Amino acid sequence: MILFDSLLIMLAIVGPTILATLGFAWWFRASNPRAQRLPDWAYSGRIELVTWAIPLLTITLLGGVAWIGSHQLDPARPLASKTPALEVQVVSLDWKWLFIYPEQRVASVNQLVIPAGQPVHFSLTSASVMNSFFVPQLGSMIYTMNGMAADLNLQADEPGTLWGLSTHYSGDGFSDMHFEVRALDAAGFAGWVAATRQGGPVLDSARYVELAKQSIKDLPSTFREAETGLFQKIVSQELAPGPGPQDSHGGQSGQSAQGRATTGAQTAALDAVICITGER
Amino acid sequence: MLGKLTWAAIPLDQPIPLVASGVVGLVLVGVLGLIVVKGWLPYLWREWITSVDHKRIGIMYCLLALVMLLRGFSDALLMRSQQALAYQAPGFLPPEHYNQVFSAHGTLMIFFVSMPFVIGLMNFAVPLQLGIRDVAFPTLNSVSFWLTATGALLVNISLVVGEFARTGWLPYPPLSELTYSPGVGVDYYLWALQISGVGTLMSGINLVTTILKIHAPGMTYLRMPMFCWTSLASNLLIVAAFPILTATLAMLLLDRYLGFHFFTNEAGGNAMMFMNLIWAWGHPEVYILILPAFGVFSEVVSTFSQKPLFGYRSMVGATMVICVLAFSVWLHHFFTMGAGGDVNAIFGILSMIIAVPTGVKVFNWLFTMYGGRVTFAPPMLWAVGFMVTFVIGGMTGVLLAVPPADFVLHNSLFLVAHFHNVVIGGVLFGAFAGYTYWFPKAFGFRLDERLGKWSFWCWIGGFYLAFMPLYVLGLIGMTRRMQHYDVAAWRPWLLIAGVGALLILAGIILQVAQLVISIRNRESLRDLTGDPWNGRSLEWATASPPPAFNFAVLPEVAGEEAYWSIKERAREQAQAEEELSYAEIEMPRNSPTGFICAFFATVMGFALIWHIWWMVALGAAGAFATFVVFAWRNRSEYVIPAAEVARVDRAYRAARRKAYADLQAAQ
Amino acid sequence: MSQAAQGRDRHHADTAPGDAQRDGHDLAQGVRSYLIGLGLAVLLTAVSFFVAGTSLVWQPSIPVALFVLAIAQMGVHLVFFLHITTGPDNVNNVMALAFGVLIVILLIAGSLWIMSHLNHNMLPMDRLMQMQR
Repeated sequence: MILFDSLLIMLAIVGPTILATLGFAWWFRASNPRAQRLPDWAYSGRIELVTWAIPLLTITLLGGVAWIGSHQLDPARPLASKTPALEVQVVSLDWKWLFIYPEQRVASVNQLVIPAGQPVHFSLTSASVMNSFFVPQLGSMIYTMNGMAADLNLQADEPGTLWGLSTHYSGDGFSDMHFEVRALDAAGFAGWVAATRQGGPVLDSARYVELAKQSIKDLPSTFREAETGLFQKIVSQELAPGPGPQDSHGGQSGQSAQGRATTGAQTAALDAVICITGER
Repeated sequence: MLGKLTWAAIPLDQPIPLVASGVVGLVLVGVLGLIVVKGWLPYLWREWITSVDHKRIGIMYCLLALVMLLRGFSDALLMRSQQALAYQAPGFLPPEHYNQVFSAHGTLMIFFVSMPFVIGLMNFAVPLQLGIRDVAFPTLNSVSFWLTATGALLVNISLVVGEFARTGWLPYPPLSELTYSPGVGVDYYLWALQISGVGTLMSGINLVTTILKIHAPGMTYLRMPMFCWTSLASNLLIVAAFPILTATLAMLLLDRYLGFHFFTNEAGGNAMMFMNLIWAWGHPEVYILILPAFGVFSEVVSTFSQKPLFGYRSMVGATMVICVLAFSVWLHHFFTMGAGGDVNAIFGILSMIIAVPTGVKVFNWLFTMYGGRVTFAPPMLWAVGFMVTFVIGGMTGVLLAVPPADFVLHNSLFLVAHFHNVVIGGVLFGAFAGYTYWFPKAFGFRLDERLGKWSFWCWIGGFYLAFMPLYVLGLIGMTRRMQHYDVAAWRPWLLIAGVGALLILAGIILQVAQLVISIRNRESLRDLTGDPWNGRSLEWATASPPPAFNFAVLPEVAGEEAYWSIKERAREQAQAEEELSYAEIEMPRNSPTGFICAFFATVMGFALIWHIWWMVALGAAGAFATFVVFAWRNRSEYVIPAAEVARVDRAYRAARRKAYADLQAAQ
Repeated sequence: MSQAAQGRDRHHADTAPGDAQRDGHDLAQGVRSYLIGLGLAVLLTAVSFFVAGTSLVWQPSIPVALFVLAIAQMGVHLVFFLHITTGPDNVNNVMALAFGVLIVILLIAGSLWIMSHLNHNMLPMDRLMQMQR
């Protein structure tokens, strides 16, 4: 992996430098009678050449790696695969994730289900503030921004349960903006879609406006039907951006902050209970 | 009448901020009371508050930085203990408070610890090293300092009245827009930074002018000590970069106050532009902080190796290359916004290229030690600690500059560990090295060496213990700014990091103890030679503390290491110092302009934050009136007669001769 | 520069811009130089307004003309008001100006490049077309 390649290249320089620092400092300590002193030595063209050459060459090597890497591993670049990519539309809300499957016409909150072995193309936007979509075990992250649509291509090679999160701070509910990622085999995925179609509410514009209000730590849920073109409406701002905090209106910010302080602590305490009882 | 301000702004029902602000308030009242009771106020007003002496202003900058370091570090302790406790639990800080804590920590540490510390050191040392009497604009210097203090004051007022920003240390819109942050927190942040930013910009202009225009006779550019060069580069960066910050924050202020749409999604605004602009300032800012630290290390390594700096000219070149390249790498702070392969790759490579001159500097310090006679006084310990620590930070920095790596590490604790690695290991260690190195020059006595060494070992041990686990946590997927978490694997690492923070606390306590004990034992630590480290540049050629006029007669500079060559010559000729011909000296008069200006700026800033419009008008009018009064003054200098100059200088020379004689007798 | 610093360092420091007049140059000559500068600045401004409103010039060339006039305006200000010249005592000012121009160019060109790529990759309009298959 590119990270460890780069790390090794760097370590080859940094390790000896650290050792030399400690070594020189120790050997030339004032109390060492064996050290040879050169009190006026302040220039050596040969050493200067080396001191410029070593970092320069290292960086040239790494720069090459970076150039190739950032093109090959650009998250917007489609993955090479025989199967066509599954389209998933991701919306970061305050403070939860909405996943819309336009081809399957279902949707889910705080729960991402994808087929293993098939590339997935994510289109990402945000309903309000910036967030960053990241599933560490799958690869790259990307910012989600209101009014913008970003691309990300990922693929889970094996079925399994993974874990995703927002890596860009987005406000009070940020710490709970994580979600379970289930990679199922093709049959399992089809089964999940079918099961999801059986029940749950419908996701239309009105329902989305409700969803866009601020809330912390929503439990995973699904929608049996998602309105077509909802994602486009969000990106084009046809549906207004998330409303932000509702219980404060400019003036009494101090007061409202206190109001939230208690409720925040209470919800957090409640969350802790949920965690311990194994709800999640 | 009072705009948005009501009694509800004071957090009477939140115990932690209340207690914290109560304690701070009590200490403040206690100190003020002590000053008044002891009758020190006239002295403070005359000698410090209204002083336009660059040395006094530099010392006050450093003092401000040290006090704010305590505040910023207590925020760090809160964060570390919150994360140690908040595994599947809410911890003791609710999100809205925790979010203020990390925002305040970042803002304080960058703007009100690192900045004043390096500016203070530059203010103190640069004119002395150049062999001149003061900076180019002494009163402006005082205004700069007091405006910085205003910013720090506003940030700390937010602890008691209202709230601080909950947006992180850089308030990215849309989160920082009125819709998502309706409170006064972001306004506190913005006005504090706008006011102190003006001060920083003026201080930058002041020092650039000083370094370019005023020199002792014979002090050509290529004879300036390394610290002056890095200060020049740093201040050039301030002059070029801070207007970007001011403009960007002004646009956000217009958005918030007057309903503009620079960074909103309506009316053609674009939040991405904020990220672009803030980092176009933010990356040069990194070099504004680190370059003076590089300068301190150059001075320290060469002094304590008893050798000239290796490769002086290539160091100058490397500094100026960094100065320009600093403006060409800012995109690497938002690779993950998705600008595409070409843009990311170019900026990634440029970011790596800037590591080249930095690497050259490290090698040059290394070869400065080679063949030297190295003594390990505290400044040198900080320097060696820096060299070891900083290359690790540099390495992780280059890793993050590889775009594909950044796509999995961005915003993780790996990033947090990286920038603490360079800011603590680079800037802060540099500031401490400078503080221990120039302290005897500033006050005429040394700092207690034993406590200094202990504090160094606590700091460096604590640093590794606190931040190496963060690298690991970043690699296993923990992101920054988490108020609580459910992943069991993270917990042990966070606990280790907490222990590291406690060790750093011990280091800070030892530093405070060092200062107190050294002041108590100042007679036994007294240095009468003015040159306790056997230094090489001109600041060591005068008394400690230097007289107001720095040098009785401006020194003649004949080579790269001005004072070293003077000492060499004296040794070779083995003669008594020739009698100098003293002349009267004109010095700038003290002026309360800075303090009064800052007072009105504080009033105005506070009023703007709380929308108290009449008070805004009052503050603006007051500040303008102060300026007019200053501009119309008719006496700006006073004269020190030649006899007085001669008396002061002869006394110093006699004391120095005696000190050296005593020293020789002792050997 | 403070008066003290100036009086002290006059013999070895560079003179700051604006000091030239005070040092005994002909006052009338100074005034004349400012008047020429003012005249040129006013002329360039007037021409800009004229070009913006006129139909005498080929329409698409108007922005280019304004751009050129703006550069000329900057030049006039630098030479007549800020006293940037090529004289030997002006090296610092010219260097500072060059540094400033370099930074401004880096910043503006970099921002335009970055923002155009970001917009290209993320602006909703063309993507929405493509999504509504």
